[in-house]
Amino acid sequence: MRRAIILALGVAAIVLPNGALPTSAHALTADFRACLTKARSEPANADCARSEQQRQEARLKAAWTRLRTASRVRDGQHVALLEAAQKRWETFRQDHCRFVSTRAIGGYSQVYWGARCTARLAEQRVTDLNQRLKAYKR
Amino acid sequence: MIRRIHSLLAPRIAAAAFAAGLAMFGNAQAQAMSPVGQACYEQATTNAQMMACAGAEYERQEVALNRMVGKVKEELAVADKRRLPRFEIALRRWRGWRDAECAARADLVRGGSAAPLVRLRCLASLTERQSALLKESLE
Repeated sequence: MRRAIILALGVAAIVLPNGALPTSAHALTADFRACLTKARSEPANADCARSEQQRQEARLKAAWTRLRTASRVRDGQHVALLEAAQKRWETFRQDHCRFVSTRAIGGYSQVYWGARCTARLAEQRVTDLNQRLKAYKR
Repeated sequence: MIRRIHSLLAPRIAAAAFAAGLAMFGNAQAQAMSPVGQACYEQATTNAQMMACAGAEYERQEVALNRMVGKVKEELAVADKRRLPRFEIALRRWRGWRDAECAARADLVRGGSAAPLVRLRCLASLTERQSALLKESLE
Protein backbone atom coordinates (compact mmCIF):
# COMPACT_ATOMS: atom_id res chain seq x y z
CA MET A 1 0.00 0.00 0.00
CA ARG A 2 2.77 2.36 1.05
CA ARG A 3 4.71 1.53 -2.12
CA ALA A 4 1.59 2.22 -4.20
CA ILE A 5 1.18 5.68 -2.65
CA ILE A 6 4.85 6.52 -3.22
CA LEU A 7 4.57 5.30 -6.83
CA ALA A 8 1.41 7.38 -7.42
CA LEU A 9 3.09 10.49 -6.01
CA GLY A 10 6.13 9.88 -8.21
CA VAL A 11 4.00 9.52 -11.34
CA ALA A 12 2.05 12.66 -10.45
CA ALA A 13 5.31 14.57 -10.01
CA ILE A 14 6.44 13.57 -13.52
CA VAL A 15 3.12 13.93 -15.34
CA LEU A 16 1.97 17.07 -13.51
CA PRO A 17 5.09 19.18 -13.05
CA ASN A 18 2.98 22.31 -13.49
CA GLY A 19 0.29 21.22 -11.08
CA ALA A 20 0.87 24.30 -8.93
CA LEU A 21 0.32 26.67 -11.83
CA PRO A 22 -2.80 28.81 -12.09
CA THR A 23 -5.70 27.93 -14.32
CA SER A 24 -5.82 31.44 -15.78
CA ALA A 25 -2.77 32.32 -17.82
CA HIS A 26 -4.04 35.75 -18.90
CA ALA A 27 -1.59 37.50 -16.59
CA LEU A 28 1.50 35.87 -18.05
CA THR A 29 3.66 37.41 -20.76
CA ALA A 30 4.53 35.40 -23.90
CA ASP A 31 8.15 34.90 -22.74
CA PHE A 32 7.02 33.61 -19.37
CA ARG A 33 4.45 31.27 -20.92
CA ALA A 34 7.03 29.92 -23.38
CA CYS A 35 9.48 29.27 -20.54
CA LEU A 36 6.83 27.48 -18.46
CA THR A 37 5.85 25.32 -21.42
CA LYS A 38 9.40 23.96 -21.57
CA ALA A 39 9.83 23.68 -17.78
CA ARG A 40 9.47 20.17 -16.45
CA SER A 41 9.92 20.62 -12.71
CA GLU A 42 9.20 22.99 -9.85
CA PRO A 43 12.80 24.35 -9.82
CA ALA A 44 12.49 25.04 -13.57
CA ASN A 45 9.15 26.83 -13.02
CA ALA A 46 10.77 28.94 -10.32
CA ASP A 47 13.64 29.81 -12.70
CA CYS A 48 11.09 30.95 -15.30
CA ALA A 49 9.40 33.19 -12.72
CA ARG A 50 12.72 34.65 -11.60
CA SER A 51 13.73 35.41 -15.20
CA GLU A 52 10.36 37.08 -15.78
CA GLN A 53 10.83 39.09 -12.59
CA GLN A 54 14.24 40.32 -13.79
CA ARG A 55 12.82 41.29 -17.19
CA GLN A 56 9.94 43.24 -15.65
CA GLU A 57 12.18 44.89 -13.03
CA ALA A 58 14.44 46.21 -15.80
CA ARG A 59 11.40 47.58 -17.67
CA LEU A 60 10.07 49.15 -14.48
CA LYS A 61 13.36 50.84 -13.69
CA ALA A 62 13.54 52.31 -17.20
CA ALA A 63 9.87 53.46 -17.14
CA TRP A 64 10.27 55.10 -13.73
CA THR A 65 13.46 56.91 -14.79
CA ARG A 66 11.70 58.23 -17.92
CA LEU A 67 8.68 59.41 -15.93
CA ARG A 68 10.77 60.94 -13.14
CA THR A 69 12.75 62.92 -15.73
CA ALA A 70 9.63 64.02 -17.66
CA SER A 71 7.84 65.09 -14.47
CA ARG A 72 10.42 67.83 -13.92
CA VAL A 73 8.35 70.05 -16.21
CA ARG A 74 6.08 70.35 -13.16
CA ASP A 75 6.91 71.89 -9.77
CA GLY A 76 8.52 70.23 -6.76
CA GLN A 77 5.18 69.58 -5.08
CA HIS A 78 4.05 67.47 -8.01
CA VAL A 79 7.32 65.53 -8.18
CA ALA A 80 7.07 64.86 -4.42
CA LEU A 81 3.54 63.45 -4.87
CA LEU A 82 4.75 61.26 -7.71
CA GLU A 83 7.67 59.92 -5.68
CA ALA A 84 5.49 59.30 -2.63
CA ALA A 85 3.06 57.29 -4.78
CA GLN A 86 5.89 55.21 -6.25
CA LYS A 87 7.31 54.51 -2.79
CA ARG A 88 3.89 53.40 -1.52
CA TRP A 89 3.43 51.21 -4.58
CA GLU A 90 6.76 49.46 -3.83
CA THR A 91 5.61 48.78 -0.26
CA PHE A 92 2.22 47.55 -1.44
CA ARG A 93 3.79 45.22 -3.99
CA GLN A 94 6.22 43.81 -1.44
CA ASP A 95 3.49 43.02 1.09
CA HIS A 96 0.96 41.80 -1.45
CA CYS A 97 3.48 39.42 -3.03
CA ARG A 98 4.62 38.25 0.39
CA PHE A 99 1.00 37.30 1.02
CA VAL A 100 0.62 35.64 -2.39
CA SER A 101 3.86 33.65 -2.00
CA THR A 102 2.59 32.05 1.20
CA ARG A 103 0.02 30.03 -0.74
CA ALA A 104 2.93 27.57 -0.76
CA ILE A 105 5.16 27.47 2.31
CA GLY A 106 8.82 26.95 1.54
CA GLY A 107 10.57 25.43 -1.44
CA TYR A 108 10.48 26.28 -5.10
CA SER A 109 6.74 26.78 -5.19
CA GLN A 110 6.93 29.72 -2.78
CA VAL A 111 9.75 31.20 -4.86
CA TYR A 112 7.64 30.73 -7.99
CA TRP A 113 4.56 32.48 -6.59
CA GLY A 114 6.54 35.35 -5.08
CA ALA A 115 8.52 36.05 -8.26
CA ARG A 116 5.47 35.66 -10.48
CA CYS A 117 3.49 38.15 -8.38
CA THR A 118 6.35 40.67 -8.30
CA ALA A 119 6.76 40.44 -12.07
CA ARG A 120 3.03 40.70 -12.71
CA LEU A 121 2.62 43.87 -10.64
CA ALA A 122 5.76 45.40 -12.17
CA GLU A 123 4.33 44.80 -15.65
CA GLN A 124 1.08 46.52 -14.68
CA ARG A 125 2.99 49.43 -13.13
CA VAL A 126 5.04 49.91 -16.29
CA THR A 127 1.81 50.28 -18.27
CA ASP A 128 0.55 52.86 -15.76
CA LEU A 129 3.79 54.83 -15.75
CA ASN A 130 4.01 54.85 -19.54
CA GLN A 131 0.44 56.14 -19.80
CA ARG A 132 1.22 58.87 -17.26
CA LEU A 133 4.22 59.87 -19.35
CA LYS A 134 1.84 61.03 -22.09
CA ALA A 135 0.37 63.66 -19.75
CA TYR A 136 3.77 65.36 -19.44
CA LYS A 137 4.40 65.32 -23.17
CA ARG A 138 1.24 67.17 -24.15
CA MET B 1 -33.69 86.12 -24.07
CA ILE B 2 -29.88 86.23 -24.28
CA ARG B 3 -29.74 85.57 -20.54
CA ARG B 4 -31.98 82.50 -21.01
CA ILE B 5 -29.81 81.10 -23.82
CA HIS B 6 -26.76 81.73 -21.67
CA SER B 7 -28.27 79.93 -18.70
CA LEU B 8 -29.14 76.96 -20.91
CA LEU B 9 -25.77 76.72 -22.64
CA ALA B 10 -23.42 77.63 -19.82
CA PRO B 11 -23.54 74.27 -17.97
CA ARG B 12 -23.08 72.39 -21.26
CA ILE B 13 -20.13 74.53 -22.31
CA ALA B 14 -18.60 74.13 -18.85
CA ALA B 15 -19.14 70.36 -19.00
CA ALA B 16 -17.54 70.19 -22.45
CA ALA B 17 -14.53 72.17 -21.23
CA PHE B 18 -14.40 69.96 -18.17
CA ALA B 19 -14.48 66.79 -20.30
CA ALA B 20 -11.82 68.23 -22.62
CA GLY B 21 -9.57 68.97 -19.64
CA LEU B 22 -10.13 65.47 -18.38
CA ALA B 23 -9.30 63.99 -21.76
CA MET B 24 -6.11 66.07 -22.01
CA PHE B 25 -4.68 65.32 -18.58
CA GLY B 26 -6.67 63.25 -16.16
CA ASN B 27 -7.57 60.55 -18.61
CA ALA B 28 -3.96 59.92 -19.59
CA GLN B 29 -4.30 56.95 -17.26
CA ALA B 30 -6.67 54.37 -18.64
CA GLN B 31 -9.54 54.32 -16.19
CA ALA B 32 -11.92 51.47 -16.71
CA MET B 33 -15.54 51.90 -15.71
CA SER B 34 -18.42 49.53 -15.15
CA PRO B 35 -21.13 49.59 -17.89
CA VAL B 36 -23.48 51.33 -15.42
CA GLY B 37 -20.86 53.98 -14.68
CA GLN B 38 -20.10 54.43 -18.38
CA ALA B 39 -23.80 54.89 -19.24
CA CYS B 40 -24.20 57.42 -16.43
CA TYR B 41 -21.13 59.32 -17.57
CA GLU B 42 -22.25 59.44 -21.21
CA GLN B 43 -25.58 61.01 -20.23
CA ALA B 44 -24.04 63.60 -17.92
CA THR B 45 -24.07 67.14 -19.30
CA THR B 46 -22.85 69.13 -16.30
CA ASN B 47 -19.85 68.96 -13.99
CA ALA B 48 -22.12 68.14 -11.07
CA GLN B 49 -23.67 65.21 -12.95
CA MET B 50 -20.24 63.86 -13.92
CA MET B 51 -19.14 64.10 -10.30
CA ALA B 52 -22.28 62.26 -9.19
CA CYS B 53 -21.60 59.48 -11.73
CA ALA B 54 -17.98 59.16 -10.60
CA GLY B 55 -19.00 59.14 -6.93
CA ALA B 56 -21.58 56.41 -7.52
CA GLU B 57 -19.07 54.37 -9.52
CA TYR B 58 -16.51 54.63 -6.71
CA GLU B 59 -19.11 53.45 -4.19
CA ARG B 60 -20.02 50.50 -6.44
CA GLN B 61 -16.38 49.48 -6.72
CA GLU B 62 -15.87 49.79 -2.95
CA VAL B 63 -18.84 47.49 -2.36
CA ALA B 64 -17.48 44.98 -4.90
CA LEU B 65 -14.03 45.10 -3.29
CA ASN B 66 -15.42 44.57 0.20
CA ARG B 67 -17.32 41.57 -1.12
CA MET B 68 -14.11 40.17 -2.62
CA VAL B 69 -12.17 40.83 0.60
CA GLY B 70 -14.86 38.86 2.44
CA LYS B 71 -14.44 35.94 0.02
CA VAL B 72 -10.65 35.91 0.45
CA LYS B 73 -11.02 35.98 4.24
CA GLU B 74 -13.51 33.10 4.11
CA GLU B 75 -11.13 31.12 1.94
CA LEU B 76 -8.21 31.83 4.27
CA ALA B 77 -10.26 30.91 7.34
CA VAL B 78 -10.82 27.48 5.79
CA ALA B 79 -7.48 26.91 4.05
CA ASP B 80 -4.88 28.63 6.26
CA LYS B 81 -5.69 31.16 8.98
CA ARG B 82 -1.99 32.00 9.38
CA ARG B 83 -2.09 33.88 6.08
CA LEU B 84 -4.80 36.27 7.29
CA PRO B 85 -2.51 38.85 9.00
CA ARG B 86 -0.35 39.07 5.86
CA PHE B 87 -3.47 39.61 3.78
CA GLU B 88 -4.67 42.42 6.04
CA ILE B 89 -1.27 44.13 5.96
CA ALA B 90 -1.22 43.90 2.15
CA LEU B 91 -4.71 45.39 1.96
CA ARG B 92 -3.73 48.33 4.19
CA ARG B 93 -0.66 48.93 2.04
CA TRP B 94 -2.83 48.85 -1.07
CA ARG B 95 -5.16 51.53 0.35
CA GLY B 96 -2.15 53.69 1.22
CA TRP B 97 -0.83 53.37 -2.32
CA ARG B 98 -4.21 53.95 -3.97
CA ASP B 99 -4.77 57.22 -2.12
CA ALA B 100 -1.25 58.47 -2.84
CA GLU B 101 -1.51 57.43 -6.50
CA CYS B 102 -4.83 59.19 -7.00
CA ALA B 103 -3.54 62.34 -5.30
CA ALA B 104 -0.62 62.35 -7.75
CA ARG B 105 -2.92 61.78 -10.75
CA ALA B 106 -5.32 64.54 -9.67
CA ASP B 107 -2.35 66.86 -9.22
CA LEU B 108 -1.86 66.76 -12.99
CA VAL B 109 -4.91 69.07 -13.16
CA ARG B 110 -4.23 70.89 -9.87
CA GLY B 111 -6.49 73.87 -9.31
CA GLY B 112 -8.77 72.94 -12.20
CA SER B 113 -12.39 71.93 -11.85
CA ALA B 114 -11.55 68.46 -13.21
CA ALA B 115 -9.19 67.61 -10.31
CA PRO B 116 -11.84 66.10 -7.96
CA LEU B 117 -13.29 64.10 -10.86
CA VAL B 118 -9.88 62.74 -11.87
CA ARG B 119 -9.30 61.69 -8.26
CA LEU B 120 -12.70 59.95 -7.98
CA ARG B 121 -12.29 58.13 -11.28
CA CYS B 122 -8.82 57.03 -10.24
CA LEU B 123 -10.11 55.72 -6.89
CA ALA B 124 -12.86 53.76 -8.66
CA SER B 125 -10.51 52.39 -11.30
CA LEU B 126 -7.82 51.20 -8.86
CA THR B 127 -10.46 49.73 -6.54
CA GLU B 128 -11.84 47.73 -9.45
CA ARG B 129 -8.33 46.55 -10.31
CA GLN B 130 -7.72 45.45 -6.72
CA SER B 131 -10.89 43.33 -6.80
CA ALA B 132 -9.56 41.62 -9.93
CA LEU B 133 -6.17 41.06 -8.29
CA LEU B 134 -7.77 39.49 -5.22
CA LYS B 135 -9.93 37.31 -7.46
CA GLU B 136 -6.73 36.07 -9.11
CA SER B 137 -5.28 35.21 -5.71
CA LEU B 138 -8.22 32.85 -5.16
CA GLU B 139 -7.58 30.93 -8.39
